[in-house]
Amino acid sequence: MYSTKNPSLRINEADLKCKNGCGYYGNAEWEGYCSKCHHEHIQRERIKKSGGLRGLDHGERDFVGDKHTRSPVGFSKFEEKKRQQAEKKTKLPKLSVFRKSSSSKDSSRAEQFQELSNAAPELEKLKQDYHDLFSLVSQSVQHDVCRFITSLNTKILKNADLVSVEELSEIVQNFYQVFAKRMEANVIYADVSQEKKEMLLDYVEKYVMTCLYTILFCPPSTADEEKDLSIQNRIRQLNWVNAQHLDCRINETKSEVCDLVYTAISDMLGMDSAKAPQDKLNCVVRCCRNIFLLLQQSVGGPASADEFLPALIFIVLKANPARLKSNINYVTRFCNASRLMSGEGGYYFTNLCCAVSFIENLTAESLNMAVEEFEQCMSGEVAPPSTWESTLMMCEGMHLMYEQLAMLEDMHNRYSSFVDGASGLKEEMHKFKSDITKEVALVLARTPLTIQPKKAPTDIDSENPSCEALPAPIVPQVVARQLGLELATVKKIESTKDLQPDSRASTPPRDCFSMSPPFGLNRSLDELITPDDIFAAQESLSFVQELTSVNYDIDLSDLSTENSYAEDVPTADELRGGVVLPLETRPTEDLTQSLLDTAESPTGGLLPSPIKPVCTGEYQGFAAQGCQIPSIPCDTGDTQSLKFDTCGTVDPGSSQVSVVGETVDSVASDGRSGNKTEETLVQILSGIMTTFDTLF
Amino acid sequence: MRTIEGKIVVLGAQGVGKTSLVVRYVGKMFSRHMSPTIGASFFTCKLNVEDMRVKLQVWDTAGQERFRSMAPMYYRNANAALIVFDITQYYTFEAMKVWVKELQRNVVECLVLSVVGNKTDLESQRQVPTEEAVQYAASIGGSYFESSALHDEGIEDVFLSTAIRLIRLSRDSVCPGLRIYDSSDPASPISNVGKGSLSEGSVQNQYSLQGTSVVHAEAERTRMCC
Repeated sequence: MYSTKNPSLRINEADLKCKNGCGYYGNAEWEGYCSKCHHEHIQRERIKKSGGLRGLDHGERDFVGDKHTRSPVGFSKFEEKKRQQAEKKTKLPKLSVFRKSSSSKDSSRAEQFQELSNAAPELEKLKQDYHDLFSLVSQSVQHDVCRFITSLNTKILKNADLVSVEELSEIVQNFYQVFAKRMEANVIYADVSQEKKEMLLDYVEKYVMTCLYTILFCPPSTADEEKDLSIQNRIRQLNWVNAQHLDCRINETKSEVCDLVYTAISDMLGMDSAKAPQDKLNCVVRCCRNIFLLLQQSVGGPASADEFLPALIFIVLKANPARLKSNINYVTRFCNASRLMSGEGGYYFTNLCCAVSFIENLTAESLNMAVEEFEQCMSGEVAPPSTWESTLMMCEGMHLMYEQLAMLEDMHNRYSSFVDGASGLKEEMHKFKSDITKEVALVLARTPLTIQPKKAPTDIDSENPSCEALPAPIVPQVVARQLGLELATVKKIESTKDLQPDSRASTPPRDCFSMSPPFGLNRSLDELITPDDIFAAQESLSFVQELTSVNYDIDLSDLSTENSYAEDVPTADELRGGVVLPLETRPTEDLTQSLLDTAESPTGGLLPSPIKPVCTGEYQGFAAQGCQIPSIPCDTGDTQSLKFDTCGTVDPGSSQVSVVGETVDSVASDGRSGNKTEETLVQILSGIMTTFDTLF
Repeated sequence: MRTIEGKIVVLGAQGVGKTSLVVRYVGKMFSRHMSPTIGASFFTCKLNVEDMRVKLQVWDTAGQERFRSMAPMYYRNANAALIVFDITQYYTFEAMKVWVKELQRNVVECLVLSVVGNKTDLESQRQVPTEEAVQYAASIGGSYFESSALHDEGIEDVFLSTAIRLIRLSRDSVCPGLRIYDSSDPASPISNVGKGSLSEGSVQNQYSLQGTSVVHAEAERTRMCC
């Protein structure tokens, strides 16, 4: 080493040799001595100083010699140096024991306490985790547990540098047993349940191990680190091994399985970061459970040991956990043996040990391969076609592809549903349109819109061509004033006009007749729709009935019809509808008929018009309305009118018309006598005309 | 109630039906009481026999030949072993004998041995006579069972008898590997498995039947235990 550091030829070779002249090369670090002579020199100095101990520890001497001759094979310089430092570290406390110097002991104590305090955050966390447990047990139990923990800690610390790690393991295991037995036997644990005892045991183990982790994990006195490196290299060499080689049924290309493989691998890697042996064990359990889950997907049922072990080997190979051997040894040594020998954790840990041992002893035969092929693969000359890495890459690609395919499909689905919706909407719109068109057409067909010419108010004075179509105005005939009665009638009319001047202004002649049908008709069109009118009509009906009942001359047939009408009084609803229409139209025909009758016999105008039995239904209609003004006969006080009503005719409608005719005739005959009467006549005539106009 | 915790390891040559046996039993347990175990290679089952509760931890082993050398790791600290062979393959019977020898050599603790001849559904192809198997089982201090994992016959008997013999073992001798403790916690779920507590009579019957072979096993064990 020295020579490699100083290759310069200027230094004499003799200068490099040991000062002692033993023939070995010396080192500046060792004050120019070779390592052996330097050591002896130091020993001599020490003996000189202390004057106590004589002679050298044989083991140590062998150790030093071994180190001197040992050549670094298979390891890098760095590793060699690290080990030397580690050996120094182990050696120093031993020397301190020989020296029995209190100062060195104090320093190591300080170091240990520092180590303990380093783990403080984890211990705090542990305390918090178990806080619930301790709140359930009594104070004395807590104190006892704490006492045990302290005693174990000090015991381990005292022995850590003196005895081998196996002996430490024995101490710890004994301690667990003692503690478990104490919990069984001691009074203060009497009321603690079995489960809580187990938890207390776990707590003690976790606490102590977390405290002493740095001392007990991968102690420099063991070859754990070398084994770690060798297994790591071994696994690295075996990175070409895939699931097919191991005969394990892991479907690497399936994304769910791949995810579980990753989870299992990360659990396995997490083992190194845990401190307490049980936590490490839990990592293994988690990893194995994930393996079972992924096997369940591949196998389709609970996986058996035949499938599990190869899968675990595969996971270990792919994970290549750091310090695998150290971790396994640490758990084996310091985990509570009862936990490790039984239970799920124990089973999985055993499997992990099996997997590691399988990997260590892996041969071509165990992979069912030809020896040559295996060798080639191991040396890296040939890489099997489907290595984990390539599968991973493929898997990644496939994963991405599947994801994108799924996304595409989703988008396609959404698009098609969108299109469907759009076309549906379109159809609906079309349907709606045609429906509406159809309905409109239907409505139009049902109710054709015929625009009727607006009725212009008839101007009596103007020359209306339509008037020509009318029968020629009745020429006033000079008739001998035979009947004073007629004149009286005219007078009566005049008197009525005087009585009702307002009505004369609008429809002058109409109101002249107490029971004028046009009046009734007009009213019926405008006002009869209201229920009041119906009541009025009914009232008038009853009035008529009264009248008829008074009138003993009325023949029975008419009475019966009246009665029938009374039964047929239209309800309000009927009245509201088009029921009014027949009321309006039919009587006019009859009226005209009756008028025609009168017109047919102009010569017979003097004669009382023949009493014509008319359809009684119409009559009642008129009667109903006409009788609304029952006061008229009373007002006039005319016996004539009374005579008309009561005994003149049975049918007031037709009788009235006939009366009109009579009156007209009589008036016309009167008109010749004077202008005044002529005027009146014209008025009456025009009134009749208006009435007919309205009727038509 | 006193609880005995025991570890049973299932051994045997490849293809004799160890896994089917275990899977069949586990499958039944799954339907009968809920166990969160997801794999069939390791599971615990609790059997109530008389006033004792036996917690069995069943460790299945990988049957492949290349894992043969790992077996000692599995049967270390086991309290009972089921050694399975195929009655239609005589060589598996021979292999079973090798397993027994290996166990006797390596296991220092008292071990309850059960020899199981599987695949009775293939009776027509039988190569191992029942008498021979019974004789052999008696010679090693074990009991012999015949089962059919396919038809689910005789499997529960195997586990039940193992439990009974573990109880017997715990009474007769001090066995450090066997964890015995009082579980006074009544809240802990009690799962009744097999005929154990369902029909006490049959258990009693079973128990007395097994009595002789257990006694025989005791005699053998003195030689087996170091």
